[in-house]
Formats: sequence, structure tokens, C-alpha cells
Amino acid sequence: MFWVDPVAQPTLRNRIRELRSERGVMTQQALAEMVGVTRQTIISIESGKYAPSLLLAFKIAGALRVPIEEVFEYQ
Amino acid sequence: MVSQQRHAAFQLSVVCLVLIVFAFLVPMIGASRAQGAFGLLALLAIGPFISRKLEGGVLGDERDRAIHLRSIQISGVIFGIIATVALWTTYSIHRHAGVISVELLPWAAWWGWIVFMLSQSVTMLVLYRLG
Repeated sequence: MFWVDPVAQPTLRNRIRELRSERGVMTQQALAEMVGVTRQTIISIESGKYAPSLLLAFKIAGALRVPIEEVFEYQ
Repeated sequence: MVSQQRHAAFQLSVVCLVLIVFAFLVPMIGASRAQGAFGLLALLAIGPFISRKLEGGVLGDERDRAIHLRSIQISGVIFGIIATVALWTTYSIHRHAGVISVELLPWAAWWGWIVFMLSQSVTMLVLYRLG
């Protein structure tokens, strides 16, 4: 099949922005430095434009000190 | 702007400079000698210094690698399409008995490189823009 319905595509929702604000003033830059990526990558993940690898997802969850399922939700 | 984005912007600037200088030289010294403008592609060698790691920053991550890989794939497809069209056009003009001038070889190499670099840098900048 050459054509894929974008509406039917599964998405990875996340609560990174919400969890950052819950942890005081953890900026995107601070989180990026903690997990070893660029700030642009954190922006892309937060806005749902980029789905991180499993390893990076675990790193983000670890930096936010919550289980991975609290950060990412597969829909 | 991340380092890979800076590198792509620099690469695009060099390719545009080459094309401008080439277009400027052709009416004055002819297309064959104007190929000297392609020597400016050597400026690409200073690209790694532009994309070097900044103090405390990250040089690149998995998203940068994914964008780089996708830009290579897309520019490879563009290059393949243009090369195929060029080869079929040449064949349809000359047929089996035709002889291609050896002067076409450097032309093919230069323009092939230009097409690849141009499409790769533009694709990369577009992919970064899209997120």
C-alpha cells in the first residue's frame, strides 16, 4: 500500500512539559543537558513532532524521576 | 541552530556561490573554462570547523542522525532520478553508434556533486524546519 492515512497513524503522546513545570524551573535546556541531546530535540519531542528512541525515552523519564509510562503514552 | 543545521546552511551557501560564480564566468570565458568555478567547492573542507561542538553543548543526537540519514536518502533518490534522465536523454540522442565526448565526464562529475550537495543541504534544512 503506497498511501497511508496519517489520521490512522499511532502517536506517542508525552507529558514532558507538564512534568518539567511540576519540578520547578527545569528548562528545556537543563533537561537536554541531563539526557545528552540538543534543546531542539526536546522541543520536537514535547510538540510530538519527533518520537524518541526507547533509550532516550528512558533517559528522559529518569531525568524527570518518574516511570516511563507516566511520561509517554502510546495512542 | 544546531551544528548540523549550521553545516547544512554553510554547504548550501558554498553551492550557491559556485553556481553564481559559474553563471558569471560563462559569458566571459565560456562554459568549458568556467568550470574552474567548481574549484570553490573546496571551501566545503572548512565545514567541520563550522559545525564543531560549542562550549557545554551537544554536537548531535539521535534526531540529528535521523535527519542526516533521511536527507542522504532523499538526495540519493533525487540524484538517481536526474542521473537516469540524463543517461536516457544521452542515449536517445546518440543511440548505439553514438560517441560521447570525454569532456562530458568532468561535467557529469561536477554537476552530479552539485545536485547531490544542493538537494542534501536543502532537504536537511527543510527537515529541521518541519521538526
